[in-house]
Amino acid sequence: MDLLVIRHAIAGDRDEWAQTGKSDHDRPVTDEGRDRMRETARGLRAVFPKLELIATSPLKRAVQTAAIVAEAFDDLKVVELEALSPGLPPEDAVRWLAGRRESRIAVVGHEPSLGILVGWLMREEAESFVSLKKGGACLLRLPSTPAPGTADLKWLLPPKLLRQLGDT
Amino acid sequence: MTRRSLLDRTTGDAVARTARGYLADAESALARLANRQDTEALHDFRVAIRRVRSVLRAYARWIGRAGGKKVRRRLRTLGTATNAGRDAEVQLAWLEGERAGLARGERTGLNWLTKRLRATRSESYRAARRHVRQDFRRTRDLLAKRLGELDDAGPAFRETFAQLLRQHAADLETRLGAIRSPDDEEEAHEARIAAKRLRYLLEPVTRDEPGIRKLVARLKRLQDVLGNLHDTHVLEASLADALDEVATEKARQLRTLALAGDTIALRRARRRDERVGLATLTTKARIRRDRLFAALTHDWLSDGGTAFFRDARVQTDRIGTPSPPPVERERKYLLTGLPEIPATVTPQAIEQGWLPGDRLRERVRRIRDESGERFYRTVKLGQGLERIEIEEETTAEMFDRLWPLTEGCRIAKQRYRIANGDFTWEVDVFRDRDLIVAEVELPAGRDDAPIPEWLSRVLARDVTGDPAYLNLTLASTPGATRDGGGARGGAPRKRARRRPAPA
Repeated sequence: MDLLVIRHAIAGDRDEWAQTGKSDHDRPVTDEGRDRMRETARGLRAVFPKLELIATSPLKRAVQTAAIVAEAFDDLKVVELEALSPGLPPEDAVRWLAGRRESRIAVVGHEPSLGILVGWLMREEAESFVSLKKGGACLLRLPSTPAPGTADLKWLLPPKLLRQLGDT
Repeated sequence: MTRRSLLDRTTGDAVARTARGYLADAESALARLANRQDTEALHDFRVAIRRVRSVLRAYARWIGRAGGKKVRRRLRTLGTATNAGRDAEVQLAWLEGERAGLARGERTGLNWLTKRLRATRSESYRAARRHVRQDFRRTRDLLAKRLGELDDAGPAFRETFAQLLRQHAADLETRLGAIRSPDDEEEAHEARIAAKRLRYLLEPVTRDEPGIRKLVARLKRLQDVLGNLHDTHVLEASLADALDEVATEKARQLRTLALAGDTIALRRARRRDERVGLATLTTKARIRRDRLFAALTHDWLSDGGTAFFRDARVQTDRIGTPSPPPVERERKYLLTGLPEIPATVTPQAIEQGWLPGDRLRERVRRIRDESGERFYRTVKLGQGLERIEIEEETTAEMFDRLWPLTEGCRIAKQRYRIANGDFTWEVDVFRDRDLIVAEVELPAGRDDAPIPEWLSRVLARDVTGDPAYLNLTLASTPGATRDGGGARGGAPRKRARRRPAPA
């Protein structure tokens, strides 16, 4: 299985949002974040053209990011996955992956949870192995039934490089 | 040193530079205010402030608090403080121009209106002068602080500029399309504002872009027509107010004189009727308005604007088209031994490894030389004479994190960079195998470089595009001795021979 791990696009300022009294769950991506993510998504498609499914954290900024990526992949199906919410241990997400039939999946979520998920899949250590920038992504190669400690990191790209690749 | 075009900067950087330039213009205009003879000082100040506000407004999405409402509100107050005075000034200029064409009896009305407008102008400018210095300093300090918060990140200015150019030009086209008759005062006003915003958007890049400079010149002409039309609309409103006021005043005066039984004064008052002159001026203003509208129709509304908007689209596409990613073009040659290395050339120790991607390969690299240690990450797509390669410097921390993952796919080499005419040759001596190659990067349009004499003596053959000599292939077969075309296979490594440095 190829697993594309994507951090959500640039969202509004956390503190400013908190002052509005609304839940962090609903904090959206900014206009700039949306524009950049569209370019980033084109880059993702350039380097990983075939994707079968996108799973996203249910938080608004992740759902919006997943929608932008889905659009770049011809309106690919997006499912919300509670296990990708911030702060949750990686086991549930890995269990969910192991139960999927698709072999090319993207997950959209948050840091440091995504870094921990990558660390768990690569080394069976629940420690952040990589720190993704907003809109950044990495690709893991896993066996058909993913398990902790079985992943190889194929690449890890910041959003700037992905955007440049999207121009090719 | 070559000056970097604004378009090659980031949005934050370009906006900060532009805004600071306009603030400096405002400051120098303000310094001229003390000189009462300098009638243009206040106008220049006002224009500079409007330019700052316009640039912050246009790029607000990308510049955080520098484009926030607080800053823009203060700038707006500064920029509009003299509006009434400026309107009065424009009307006074027009009225003076009309004086010679009026009969003596008609000048009474002109004089009446002139007096009133002068009072408005003086009061407006007096009030503006009183507060403007303090208000400006407060605003300038706030904005300078906010501009200082902008980092050098953000999208390329080229992209945001092209995006805004497209939007602003489309907006102007729509607004012009809404003007149907000389009576469409509101529509003409909206178009004037749209033209002004587009011009202010374009002005910062005219220095580097002749195509944009031409657009600005045409916009200035449009602004002149729309500005004059606007001034005429304002003038017509002033004349209507003046006529109302004069009529009431005259009626009151005649009644007072009639009641007083002062027949001589009453006769004189009847002769000196300001309404006659104001009515003549109203007719003249209407003629002017219709002439301006005819000019606007001819130059911009009936297909006249088509060429402008077509050219604006051409400029948008040209500027907004992202430069193609750098394509690496190089030639690679297998060598039979080390060429003579100039004494001034010191080697770089290069270690590089690849992550196990397939379609896209990511490489991390460490370079050590006299100047210290540097780290890079590079992504590559494709192969052969042309392939996409994007490189960026990275941190030691990132290198340390990714390096262990490249195990089994690494190379280590000693690199000598030797300048030769327009080209720089890189001679790589592999540390883990018996192999020496030379590479040269080619400019666009070239697929070859002259082989220098010092290289030809050790040149075995051209291996450009040969997968066996790709660094990645070599890295996947560590330590294997390569066939050097029979010339070098198995030969013991030779030490670099040194050529004396040129005097």
